[in-house]
Amino acid sequence: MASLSRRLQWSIAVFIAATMVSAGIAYLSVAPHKSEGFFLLYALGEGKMLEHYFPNGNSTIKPGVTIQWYLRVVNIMGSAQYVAVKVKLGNATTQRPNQINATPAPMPALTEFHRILVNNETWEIPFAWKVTRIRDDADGMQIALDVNGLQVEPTVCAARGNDFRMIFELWTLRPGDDRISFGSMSGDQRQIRWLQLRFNVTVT
Amino acid sequence: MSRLAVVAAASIVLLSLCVAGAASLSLSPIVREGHDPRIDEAEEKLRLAFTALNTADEIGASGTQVSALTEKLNTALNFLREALTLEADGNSSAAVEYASQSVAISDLVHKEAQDLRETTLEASLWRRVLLIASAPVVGLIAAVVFYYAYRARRWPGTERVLRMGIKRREKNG
Repeated sequence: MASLSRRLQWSIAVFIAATMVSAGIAYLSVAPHKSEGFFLLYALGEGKMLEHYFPNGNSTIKPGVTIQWYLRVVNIMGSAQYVAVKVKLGNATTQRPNQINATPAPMPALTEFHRILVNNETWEIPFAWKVTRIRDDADGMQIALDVNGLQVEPTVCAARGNDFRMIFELWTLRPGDDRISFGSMSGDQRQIRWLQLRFNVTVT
Repeated sequence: MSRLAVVAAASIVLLSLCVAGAASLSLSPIVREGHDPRIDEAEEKLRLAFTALNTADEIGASGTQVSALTEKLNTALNFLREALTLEADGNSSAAVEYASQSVAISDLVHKEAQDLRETTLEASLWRRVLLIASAPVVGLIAAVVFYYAYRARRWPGTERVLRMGIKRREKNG
């Protein structure tokens, strides 16, 4: 009888322990948990590889020569996200996007690409451009561009056509916000994603 | 003198009204953006639809349904971008046409995303209830298994003791 009682006591203890453990596991499996998400932004050359960004590997380009790049944005934020890529033209001295202050480059965007991406989706943006016109004077060289068939005339100049920079910035729309903002939020942290590709322009 | 004072007071009031009016207009998002009201509405509807879609996705809505709604919302976004381009080119009537199509799609996606959110919440609630309710069942099964396992482990020894007989030991010499 004493043995039965002890057995029952142990069984009750096992019941309580197993109930608590399984309730804990159940709670953890259904409790909402925020993952630390991020975006990837990168550019590929004409062969969709990390190479051949310029014809013959020469980053000094002439007017009329079409350069084909592919931009890719990967959403690893854990949910659907509104993404925009802003394209800007800078030179050696223009301010670049600031990683610490999370401020974008101050130049106006030449063009923008917008899309809503589901989680784990990769968005590929074909980016074909060429220099259509050059104005070279005492202030430096100023260029007009054709970007995916759109004519743009940036105001940026570069001395002797050297060290132009094509800057790509990732912007996102936070749910509930009125407008897109530079970078993306992961928890309380703002993450900045941008890249630049340098090139020179020559008349001859 | 008094007429001059009245004119001065009226001028000040009129000037204040003008300043207040100008300030309120400059704060209005429609005037500030310089867009057609239909385009502003399209932007607003798109943002609302995106927020609803994101919320549904974050609470664990079906990936297939989220993808389908995202595809629709991208169509609305493309219409809106086209409307903005047309407006910049000065083609207002076509821009409004595109904006209207964007509004219609965004409204649809907004409603469907809210429905999806409700459905997901309900399913999630039942899943939680089932999982939490299964905890005592698991505990009971564990206790019963333990009870019989304990008895099975102890029984052979007890049985052997109960079957023992008393034997007289013969003494040799």
